[in-house]
Amino acid sequence: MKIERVIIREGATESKELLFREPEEALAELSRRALFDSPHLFFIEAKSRKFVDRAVKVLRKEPESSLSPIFSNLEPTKELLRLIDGIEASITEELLEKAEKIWEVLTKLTPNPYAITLPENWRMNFLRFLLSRQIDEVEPLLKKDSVIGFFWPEAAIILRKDEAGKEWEDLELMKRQKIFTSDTKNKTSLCPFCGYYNLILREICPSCGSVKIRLEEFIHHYSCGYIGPASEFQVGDKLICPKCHEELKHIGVDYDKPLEKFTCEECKSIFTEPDLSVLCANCSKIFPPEDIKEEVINAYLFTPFGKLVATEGKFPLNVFEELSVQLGIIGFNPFLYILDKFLKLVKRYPERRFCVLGLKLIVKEEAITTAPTKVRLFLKDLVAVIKENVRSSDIISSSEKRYILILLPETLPEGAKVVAQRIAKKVEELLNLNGLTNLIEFKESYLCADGEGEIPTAEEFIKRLFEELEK
Amino acid sequence: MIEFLGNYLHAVYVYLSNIILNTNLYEKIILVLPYLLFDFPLAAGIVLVLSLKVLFGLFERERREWTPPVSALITAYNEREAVKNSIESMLEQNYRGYLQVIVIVDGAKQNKETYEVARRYEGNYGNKEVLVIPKWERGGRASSLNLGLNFVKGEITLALDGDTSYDRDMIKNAVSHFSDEKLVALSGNLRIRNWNKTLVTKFQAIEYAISIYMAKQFLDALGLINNISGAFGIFKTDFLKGLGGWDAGTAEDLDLTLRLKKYRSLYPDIKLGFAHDAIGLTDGPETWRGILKQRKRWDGDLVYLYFKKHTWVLNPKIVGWKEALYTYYLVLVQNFAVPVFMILYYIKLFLRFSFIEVMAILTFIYLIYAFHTLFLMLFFVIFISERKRWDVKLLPYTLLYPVYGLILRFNALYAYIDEAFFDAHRRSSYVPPWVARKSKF
Repeated sequence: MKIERVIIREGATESKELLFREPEEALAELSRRALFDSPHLFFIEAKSRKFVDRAVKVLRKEPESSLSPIFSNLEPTKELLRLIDGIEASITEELLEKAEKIWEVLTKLTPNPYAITLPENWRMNFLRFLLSRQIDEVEPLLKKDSVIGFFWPEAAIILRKDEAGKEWEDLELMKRQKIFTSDTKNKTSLCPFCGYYNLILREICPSCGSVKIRLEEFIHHYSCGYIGPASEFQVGDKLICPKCHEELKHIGVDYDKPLEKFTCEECKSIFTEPDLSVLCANCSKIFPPEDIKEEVINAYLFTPFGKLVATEGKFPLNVFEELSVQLGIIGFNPFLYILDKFLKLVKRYPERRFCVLGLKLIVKEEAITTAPTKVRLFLKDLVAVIKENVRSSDIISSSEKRYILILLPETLPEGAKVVAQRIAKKVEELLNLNGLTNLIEFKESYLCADGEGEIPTAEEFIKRLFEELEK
Repeated sequence: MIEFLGNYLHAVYVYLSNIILNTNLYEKIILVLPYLLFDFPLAAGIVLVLSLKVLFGLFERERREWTPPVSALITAYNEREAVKNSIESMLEQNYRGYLQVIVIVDGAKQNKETYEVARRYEGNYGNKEVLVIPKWERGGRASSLNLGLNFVKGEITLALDGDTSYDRDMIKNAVSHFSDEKLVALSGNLRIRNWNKTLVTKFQAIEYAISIYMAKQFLDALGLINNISGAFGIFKTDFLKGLGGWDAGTAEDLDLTLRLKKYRSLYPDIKLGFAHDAIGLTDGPETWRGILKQRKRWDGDLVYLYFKKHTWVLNPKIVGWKEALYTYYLVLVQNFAVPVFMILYYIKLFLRFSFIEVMAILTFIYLIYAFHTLFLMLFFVIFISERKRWDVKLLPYTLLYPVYGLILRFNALYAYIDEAFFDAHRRSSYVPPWVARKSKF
């Protein structure tokens, strides 16, 4: 097998033939010469580790070169070690053999994998990288500037994530698709609003929420019986009873400290236990500690099924996962949290009316097995229809893998009715067009809050909507 | 009974009138000779010196405003919950410098409860740090202090007791005394915490007020501090380490003081002092049995230390004439000669006079001692005491105090004989028997 050698040399005076000063120049030239599909390797001749790190990141991030064999003369930082195929002072026979082996695997894979979206394409690249390098486990590493405090370096780079940690969603998606199984390695606590891990836990006053609280000991003066905060007794470095003006000289003889209390400097209230509140350093939202999202951090183990997916280049169809990614929906729990706030708002200001539109979508198993492409196309069109009919301020979520929920703020029942009818009409047309009428069940309904009478809880509200959809 | 009491009181009245009206001055002096020889000079000295100190600021030591790092060694044994009084009083100190509190639990294996209570306090508290050291095998107080000395970070080291607690300003006041470079050790001022519990503790409160609070200020003014209290000693750490810490055995406090004095023969300029405003409160024995047992140990230790271990203290060539004369008077005369003299004196009285006459004379002497104590306590309450409300309640008990004093003097005599002839210190429960047996003297 003839393997083209592409050299990226730090400090090279000029780029010529297949010798380049920068990885970007190499990528541009290889693309121009259409060399990406034929066997090649990259060799990074660096003087510094920093250069190796940058070159590896650039090459692996680019979809066209993310599977290419990459070697270097210097070791990159630890987190990038698994993204490089070998370290040698120069291109040796051994390196060439390694590159050959990788190309042997790559050439056996089904070419032009089927992918609807770019992220899906990158995910396939990631799986094929693991397959061609015989990597069976993707391990998390601690990283302070990751969104969730951890990251999976191979995934983060090949999946082209602009922030470390964001690859987690893709890995979880692929876990649900049975491409990976997981092995719990750690846990992280995340903001329920933005999903970041940088949370600041603060003790606050239960009355006014101020952080200006301090723990103060209370002093009990035996001879006059007065009990008060220590600050009331403190005069210079002496303790003088504010009631009888006697000096307290000796603990256990003149006085004791029966309790400790918090005092708030803002509202002056005194309390035994402060409340805890969490401040997200990323989105600045404040919430109680019970709302913190506790998540498990896994190592992901490549399954035989996953390897088959990588070989065939075809992801299994998962209707709601596809919709989640394409619609950009939020989790069901945050949705309930937001809905609860809207319900409270409408109770106080009845004019702030809103509706929740529910779409029931049941794709029969038969449809996925007999007409997966048709279903994919239908889902793609469904996403387009929904996006056309909702506003950027609307909030979309899903539940129980059969309902799509859309919160429509500042919307009257008439408005919700129009949106529901429009979507229903379009979906009906799409189902007829694709011949999926018998294979996909669709129903729409909506529920509005008007601030009159008893306001239900968010759970009760959604339950009622589900009942409507199941009628 | 009532008839006997009536007769007795009448006879006493008659004889007392006779003594006062019909005896000449010489005879009167002879009658109260023990008082004039032994008790009056000390009391007069105390009143004179303290009056000058209070009224004119004479004998007042110059103070230094500084905050050196201080280490407090608290030795604990089987105090259990009570050890927290001592530790908490350290954490309550208003001292602004660094304070290291080292609690050493002797025999922590057997005294697990004490160890557990102390451990609850381990940690950092701003400028204060508590370290608890379990000494698993019991070795006596000296070994606990020596162990703690290894961990000391302070420039000043305090040797404290786990059953004693201290006023909030104790350390601040104590370190302020070290204005004089030559001052190397101070005795703290101990008072009785449970003074209100029993008659015995009230007597001890009076005794501590007179013989520690006032007498030690008097001795300090004369540069004659005789002991650095075991429950409350304040030392310059370098000096303490130079001495090699404490010696094994009983009465390690007086032992260390005497070793300090010996050191003075090499370095004549060094001084010992008394910090009257560095106050600690300790629980005194509440029963007669308890106080007699405690004092027998203390008094026996005097014989052990002065006549067995540190005989050089009586040698003016080593300690100087001032120190030697003081030792002769206070130790030999006050502690040893007085009890013997008193017994001989009472035998002589009984041989010469009838029983009722002797009783009248003793009543006369008793009244002298009672008024002597009342006067000293009145002086104390008015001019000296920092807890006047406590001390004023002790005044009525001063009239009974001579009984306590007499009992303790006879107890001391018994202790001297037991130590002199039977080595009582080797049987002391204060140190483990295996340590007591192996001590050199």
